[in-house]
Amino acid sequence: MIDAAEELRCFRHVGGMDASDTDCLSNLAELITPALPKLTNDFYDQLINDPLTEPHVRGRVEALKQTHQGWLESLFCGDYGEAFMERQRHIGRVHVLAGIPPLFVAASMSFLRAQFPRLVAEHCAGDDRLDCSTCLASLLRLLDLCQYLIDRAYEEHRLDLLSQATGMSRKLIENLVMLNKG
Amino acid sequence: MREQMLKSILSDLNGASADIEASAVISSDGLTMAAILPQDVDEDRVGAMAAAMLSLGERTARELSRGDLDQVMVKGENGYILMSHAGEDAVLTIIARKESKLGLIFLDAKRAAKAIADIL
Repeated sequence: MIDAAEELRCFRHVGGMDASDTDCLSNLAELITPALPKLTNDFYDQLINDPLTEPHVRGRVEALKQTHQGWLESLFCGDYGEAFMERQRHIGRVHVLAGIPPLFVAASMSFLRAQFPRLVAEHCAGDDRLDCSTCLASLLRLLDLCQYLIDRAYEEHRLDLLSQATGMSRKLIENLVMLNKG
Repeated sequence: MREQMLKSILSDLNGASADIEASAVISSDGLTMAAILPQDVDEDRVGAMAAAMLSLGERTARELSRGDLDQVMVKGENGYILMSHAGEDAVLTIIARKESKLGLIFLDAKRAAKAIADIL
């Protein structure tokens, strides 16, 4: 079984994440941060107007918007080390405890991936320091990494539930899963 | 060394009754510690599935207030599979013929399980 640190290393390597991504995102911060409140508002308009997502945000929209905006700002913080990773894992655990289905996280990331190309093009055009398409690629890579870390919480939770229901240890469950591989 | 000792117990077990076709000692995580199984049987699969059956049986017994689990028995068209604890971290699995005298098999299983637990 591959450990989490090795998986993360592989993710970053295969996805092509490196120090240049950090530089891009840091440089983008100043330009794009003013656009983030509207992005959050647009996102929550989507959630409020869908019958599946609305119940999960009802009565707490303003508080959730603040949290969401804080997370968006953190995407441009320029420091994507272990503390950043742990924050994403924590977000995943919170989503699980709040009963938010994994579909919502996937749909949210999809929304952001659709919106960010336009925002990045609008806000970094004309700035000679930045290559817009390179910066966008960095941002999309980071979103993928965040989604990977958040999604793991859902997988862990399901395995924990299976373990509790059946009495099987997590190790036994992993060994059973491995039976069908090769 | 311990594997040899476990295999010796399994060999005695298999030899104790013509009805016992095969046996294995599995860890509670589903890994085989020692086994005397037919050649066409996948040790890894047997190990993981036996451990899973015992865990599930234990959980079910507790859930339905049947007390501590004694053993899990699977009855198929061609015979039986018996799974029981052999100490805290191991499972004894016995594959027996359909004509087996179960009382004797249970007794042999109990003795073997105790011998295995003493080694582990």
